[in-house]
Amino acid sequence: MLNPVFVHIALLLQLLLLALLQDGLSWWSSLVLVSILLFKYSSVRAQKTVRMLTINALAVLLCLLLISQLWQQDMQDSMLQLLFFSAALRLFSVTSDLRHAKKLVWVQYFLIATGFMLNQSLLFASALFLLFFCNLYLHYLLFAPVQQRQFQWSEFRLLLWIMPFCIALFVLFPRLPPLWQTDRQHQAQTGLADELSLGGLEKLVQNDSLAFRVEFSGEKPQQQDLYWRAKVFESFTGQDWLPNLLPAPLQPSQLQARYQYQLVVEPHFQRSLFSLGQVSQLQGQIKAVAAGLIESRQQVSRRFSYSLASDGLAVALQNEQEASRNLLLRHSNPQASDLALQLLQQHPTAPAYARALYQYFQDEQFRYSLRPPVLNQKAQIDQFLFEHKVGFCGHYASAAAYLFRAAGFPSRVVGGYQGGSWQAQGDYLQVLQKDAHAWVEYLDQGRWRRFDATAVVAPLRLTQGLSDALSLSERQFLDQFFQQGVFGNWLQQLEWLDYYWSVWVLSFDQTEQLFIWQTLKSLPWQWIGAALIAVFILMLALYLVLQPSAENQNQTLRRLMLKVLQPYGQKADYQTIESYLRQLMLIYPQHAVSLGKLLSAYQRFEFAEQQEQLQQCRRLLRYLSKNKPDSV
Amino acid sequence: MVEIQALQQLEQKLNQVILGKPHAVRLALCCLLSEGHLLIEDLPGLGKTTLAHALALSLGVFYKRVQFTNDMLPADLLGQSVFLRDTQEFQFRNGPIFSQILLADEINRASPRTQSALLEAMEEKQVSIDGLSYALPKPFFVIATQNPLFHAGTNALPESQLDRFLMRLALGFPDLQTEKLILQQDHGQSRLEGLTPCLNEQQLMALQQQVVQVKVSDALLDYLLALVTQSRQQKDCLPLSPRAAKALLRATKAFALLSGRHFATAEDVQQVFPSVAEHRLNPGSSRDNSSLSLQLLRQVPCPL
Repeated sequence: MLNPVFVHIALLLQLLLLALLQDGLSWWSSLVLVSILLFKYSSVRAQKTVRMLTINALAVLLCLLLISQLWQQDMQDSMLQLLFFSAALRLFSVTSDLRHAKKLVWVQYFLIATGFMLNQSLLFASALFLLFFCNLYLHYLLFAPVQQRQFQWSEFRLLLWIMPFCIALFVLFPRLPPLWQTDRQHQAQTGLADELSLGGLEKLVQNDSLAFRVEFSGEKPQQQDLYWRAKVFESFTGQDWLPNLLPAPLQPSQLQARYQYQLVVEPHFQRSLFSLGQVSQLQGQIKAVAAGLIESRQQVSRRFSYSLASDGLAVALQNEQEASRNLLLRHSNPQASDLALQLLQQHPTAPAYARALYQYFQDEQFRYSLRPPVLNQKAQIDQFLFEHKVGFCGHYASAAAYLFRAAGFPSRVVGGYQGGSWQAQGDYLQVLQKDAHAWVEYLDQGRWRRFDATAVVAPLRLTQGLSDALSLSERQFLDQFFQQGVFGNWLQQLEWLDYYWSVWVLSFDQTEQLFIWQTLKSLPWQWIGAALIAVFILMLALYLVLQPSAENQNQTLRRLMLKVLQPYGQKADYQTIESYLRQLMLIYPQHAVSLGKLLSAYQRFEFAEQQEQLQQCRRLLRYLSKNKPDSV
Repeated sequence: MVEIQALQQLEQKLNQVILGKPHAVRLALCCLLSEGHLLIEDLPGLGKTTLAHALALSLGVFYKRVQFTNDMLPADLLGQSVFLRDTQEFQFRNGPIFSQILLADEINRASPRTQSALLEAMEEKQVSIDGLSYALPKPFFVIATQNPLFHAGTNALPESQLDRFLMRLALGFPDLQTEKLILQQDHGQSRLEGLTPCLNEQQLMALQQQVVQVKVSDALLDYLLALVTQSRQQKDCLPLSPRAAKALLRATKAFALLSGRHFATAEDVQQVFPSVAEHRLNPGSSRDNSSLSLQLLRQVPCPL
C-alpha cells in the first residue's frame, strides 16, 4: 500500500522543480503544469479519484500540443516538457499501482538531473540536491517497512557515509562527451553583441550579472591596464561598427609571458573569449583567431574555464591587408573629417596625433554620461563631436576610430571589458557585465596601440569602476539596477564560494582527471596504501564513535523521564517505569491521559524499539514538565 | 489476530468460572502458551481442580485426569504391555499419560517412584517402556495440583521434578465479596458445565508459535539476567538455573502476548517472576509461596 504522504511530497517536489526549471519550459507549459498539479491537489483533498480515461485524453492532447509547437522551440526543451508532463500526469495513477509510483520516482530523478543542463551555479546545484534528497525520500517510502515510514533524521547519517564515495565517483568517473556536453541554443544572449552602435553597450552597463572571473598566478596588472579584449570591429556603416575579420590565425608569439591567468567565463552563448593584449600561450579548448583574439572551439553554453599567458604588449599587425582594411571610410561626417585633417597638419605621426586627440577631448569639455541625448542626424559622429559632447565609451570609441581613419591612420574599435573588482583579498578578479567597454586601437610601427578617450573624459571609470565616474544623479540612476547595502558583504561571500565552485567543480574535466592520475601514478605505492589505510581507519573510528549514540538514546530518555517526573513522585529503585507511571496515573487523575500516552509511547520505544516514538515521548514530557502538579 | 481474540475470549470465560482470580488465570494461560507444565498448589477447596478442569475443557484438546494415590504404580500412569493369548504377543496398552492435557490431581500423594515416572514424559515428551519409546501426542501439558506439604500423607516432589514445572501457582482465598458471590451462585450444578472450547488445536499451536516471536529488547534481557544472577549470589535460596532463565523468558513473552502486545516489557518480567522462580528458589512449600522471589525483585534495581 502506498504511504499517503507520498503523493503530497511528490506534488511539492514537482512544484519546486517547476519553479527551478522555468528556463527550459515555455509559458504555456508552465501554466498547464501548474494547473495539473493544482487539479491533483484538489482531487487529493476531496479524496476523489480521477478516471484514467480523462488523464489519457489529457496526455494525448498535450502531446499534440507539443508536436504543434515543435517547430517553434528547441528540441531539448520539448523533450523536457514531455518528461515533465508525463511526471505530472503519472501522479494520478500512483495510488492504484505501486509500479506507477516506482516509474514516477525514476522520471523525477531524470527531471532533476536535467536541471544541470539549464544552470550550474552553486545555488542552483544546492537546490537541485535538495530536491534530489526529497526524491530519495520518496523512493525510501516505496520500500521501507510499514512501521518505519516515519521521517527519521538519523537516516541523514547514511548520507554522510556515502559522501566519500560520491566524491570518489566525481573524481574518477570518465568525462564522456555526450554526458558532459550539452548545448543550449536560442538562449537570450548576454554579453557583447556582434555589432557596436554608437550608443551601444548601454544595456550591458545596466546589467550587474557576472561576465567572467580571473585568477592571476604571479604578477597582477595595474587596474588601468585591465583591457579585456573580446571583439574587434573593423567595418563602419555610419551607425554601427561590424566585425569584418578575415580568418587569419596568428601563431602565438614566443615572447616571455608576463601575466599568467585562468579565466572562468559565464555562459554567453558566443564563441568569443577574453584576453589581455597579445596572447602568447593557450591552454584548454580554445584557439587563436584573427586580430589577436581568442575563441572557444564551441559555443560557451556553460561555465567555461581556460588558461592564458599574455606578454602585456600591444597586438601585432598581421598583414598589410589588415592595415588597409582599417583605413576604409565609407560614410562622411564632414566636420569630423575637417577636424582630423586640421589636427594631422600639426601632428603628422600617429603617437603625436593620438596625444592631440586626447588633448582635444579634454579641452572641449566632453562629458561622460550613461544617458546621452539621442543621435538622430545622418552624420552621427559630427552630431556627437560638435553638438552634444556627451556620451559614453561607445560614442568615444566610434568617434576616435573615425578621426584616426579620416587622418589616414589605420584604426579599429575593440569591444570587451575594462577593469573589474578584486575579490577575497585580491585572490581573483571579478568582471561584471557592467564593466563592458569599448575603445580604439590604432596602428603604429607594426603594433596596434590602445587609445581610450574615456580615460581623459572620465579617468575614474578606469581606476575605480563605473559608479565612481558618474555624477550623483547618474549613480542613483544606476542604483536602480544594482543591489547595494547590508547584503553586499554577504553577496560577496557567496560570489567567492561560487567562484571556487566553478574552478574546482565545474571546470573539472578530462585534463584535470588525467593530471590527477599522473600525480597518483608518480606517488610511491606505500604512500597510497598508507593513505587508504588511514581513510579506512578514520571511517571505522567515525563509525564506532557515532554508533553508540543511537544506543544511548534509551538511557537518555529514561534519565529525562525520571528528572521530569521527579516532582510527581519518586520511583522506587526496583520499580519498573511502567508501574511507576501507572502509580502516577492513580495519584494524578488530571494527568492520567498524558501519563497513559507516555506509558504506551515509552513501551513502544523501549521494548518494541520503534524509534519514532521518541519524539512522542519527548513531546509528552515537555507537556508534563510545563504542567507540574502543585506541591502536595 | 484471530487467535489473540479467541485467547481473550478464553480468558474471559475462565474468569467466569474461577471468580476473583484474574491474575492466577492469566498466569495459568501464560504457562500453557509457553509450552510449560503447570503446578497448582494450595489448600483443599480453593478451586485448584476446578481451574485445571476449566483449562483442559476450554482448550478443546484431548485430556485425561489421574487421581494420584500413594499406592499408585508407574504402569498405572504410563501403560503396560499385556500378553494376548490369541496372537501369542505382547501388546502395549496406553496409560492415561497418552493425552494432550494430563490432569495430575494431588500429585504429591503418589510415591516418589511414580512421580519420577512423570519426569521423562514431561521433559522429553516421550515414554520408554520395555526398551521401546513411545512419543506423546502434541501438544502435551501436565497440569498438576498438590496440597501443601504439611498435610498428612504427602511426598514432597524433589527439586528436579519441581524444575520440570514452568510455574507454580497458588490461588489463595478469595476476598469476601467474591466468596459471597460464589455462595450466591451455587445452584447445585458444576460451574464447569456448559464450558465449551474456545480454541482448537491449530490455534493453540499458532499462538505458541507467536509467543516465540514476541520481541524482547536487549535491555530487557539484561534486566532478566540481573534477576537470575542475583539469585546466585543470595545465600538463603537455591540459585536459578539457565533452564529457569529460559522458562522466565518464555513466560514473559507469553504474558506479553496475553496482554495483547508483540513485545515484552519489564513489567511482564516482574509479573511472571514469582510464579516462575519461587518453586525453584524455595522448593519446600509453604503457605506464603512468593516471599523469596518478591524479596529478590526488590533487591535488583530496574532501570527500565
